[in-house]
Amino acid sequence: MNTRRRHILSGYSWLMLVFLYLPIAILVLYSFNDSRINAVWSGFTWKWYISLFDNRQVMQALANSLTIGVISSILATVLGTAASLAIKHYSLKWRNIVNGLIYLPIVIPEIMMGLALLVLFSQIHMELGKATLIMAHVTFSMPYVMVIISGRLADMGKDLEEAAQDLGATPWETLRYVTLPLIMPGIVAGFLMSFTLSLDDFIISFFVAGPNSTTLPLYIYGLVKRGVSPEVNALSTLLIVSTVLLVIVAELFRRKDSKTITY
Amino acid sequence: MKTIIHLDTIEKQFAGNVVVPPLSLSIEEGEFLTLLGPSGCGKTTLLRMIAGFEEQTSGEIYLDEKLLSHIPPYQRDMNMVFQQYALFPHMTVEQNILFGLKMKKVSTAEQKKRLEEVLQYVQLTELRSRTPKQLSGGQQQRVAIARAIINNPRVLLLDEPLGALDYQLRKSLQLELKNLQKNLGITFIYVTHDQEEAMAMSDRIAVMNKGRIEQIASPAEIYNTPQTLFVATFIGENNIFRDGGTITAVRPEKIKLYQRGEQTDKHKKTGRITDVVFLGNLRKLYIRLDSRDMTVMAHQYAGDGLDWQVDNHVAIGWAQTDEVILPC
Repeated sequence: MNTRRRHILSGYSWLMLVFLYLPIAILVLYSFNDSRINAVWSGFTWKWYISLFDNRQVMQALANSLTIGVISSILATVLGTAASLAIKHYSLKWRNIVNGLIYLPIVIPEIMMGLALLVLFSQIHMELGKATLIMAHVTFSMPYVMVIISGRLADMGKDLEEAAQDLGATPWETLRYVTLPLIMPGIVAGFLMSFTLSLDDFIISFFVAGPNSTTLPLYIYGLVKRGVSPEVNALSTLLIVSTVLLVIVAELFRRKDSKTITY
Repeated sequence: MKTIIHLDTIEKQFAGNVVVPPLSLSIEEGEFLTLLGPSGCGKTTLLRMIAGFEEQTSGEIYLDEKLLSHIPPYQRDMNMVFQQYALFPHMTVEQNILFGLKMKKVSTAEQKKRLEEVLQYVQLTELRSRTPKQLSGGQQQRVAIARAIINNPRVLLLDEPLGALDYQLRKSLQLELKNLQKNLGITFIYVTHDQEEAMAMSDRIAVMNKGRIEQIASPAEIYNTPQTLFVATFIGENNIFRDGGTITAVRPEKIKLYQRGEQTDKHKKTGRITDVVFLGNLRKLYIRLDSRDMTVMAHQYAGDGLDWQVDNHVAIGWAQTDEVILPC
């Protein structure tokens, strides 16, 4: 009885994994397909990847995505961390109000955010391009950074900061030697979250991108309009692989981080 | 004796609620003073005001006759041992202990010297490169103490430092802490709700209730001559007799039992034994009085040759010197 139940449970787990990963597996598989037509397997090839790297438009879109991703996630992390540290000192009532306002963008439909940002940028006569994309990406990733860091700050409690002050650390020294090292895993996680969100974002970027600031998701969408080609599969595979690698690197970094603090 | 800390009519309110009504207190240099009271009596708030984590609503605090109010905690020459120790989890034992000296920019040579001394003193030399997570509760407690005393503070503030430990460890650490305080000569202000702990360690105990200090005196005085009904009932066990306008308190160990008719004391009360609880070195007897709705506790020590049983009818009495008259 017990073993049978275990078999059913493990079978169910495998089924869930297949359900989750089958679409991705097919996409990855066909990126190595020699045939142009997605439905037919005609042999293994690297040629779609090679042609990607020869494609100047793809490389430009990649460069745009990386630039926007890095700059917007640095900004979102710095601003989000500072905001979380500030909010912690508010009274409970104000903290709840401000938190509510900050988390609201997370549940507002993305299409509304995109539209609102577009209206704003055109009202202030700002030319659509990398700058508007970066600002938009900071807007939607900062709440995520704050959720992560506020959680860590709450876990930390006030005892450790008080202990530091009690031992003669000024508020700045307390921040530097105690608070920041302890929330560092949250800061790293927030940065990588922002970067991933920025790299993946399509809807909001669609509204606020200019002609010279096409990001990878926007470029893929442009290609798909002309049919799903093996190049799209290859490009998507690369995006997936880099996202997975990012998460692994983040995890390794996070573990290393909490053990080796020097000052 | 020289006064080291003086609280001058300090008061604390939280959002309009008075937590500590105006209160004055002088603490002497080198003494072990315990703030004792039930939870919510304001003892921790008082300690946090002295440390500088809470600002008093009114009144002033003096350290060595210098005004301390409005000086931030990091500039006050005292250290605190926190209830949950508050050790820095990202630092080793050594880094934790050195933190205070680093913040005060003490020279590296001096840091090393004092670190070795303190590590030896609290017997943590072998555990110096561990992180707090790798230590037992008792060891963490030692690190918390070491981290505080390495700074040679004028005053050490301790907020229920033994509260998180089990009974046996607490007992042995009580003695260690008391010896530490004697050897270092540092003034200790110790907060606890455990009266046994307070009795075992303190030079003076301030019994607190609803933010007020009910009585401040040596453990023996607190026990033998409580000044208020709260102190009489909060510290140890007591029998409270209300006769008209007077309240008389008599400790259970001072109650004497007699066969009916034998009694010679002036207090004539008779009753029936309802319960006998055997506790090894003593027996606790509960006696239901005949004359009124009250149960009296009496302690009988082993070897007194008397063998009282449940349902025995007895007379009780006590010497006049053993009773305490309390204000109503």
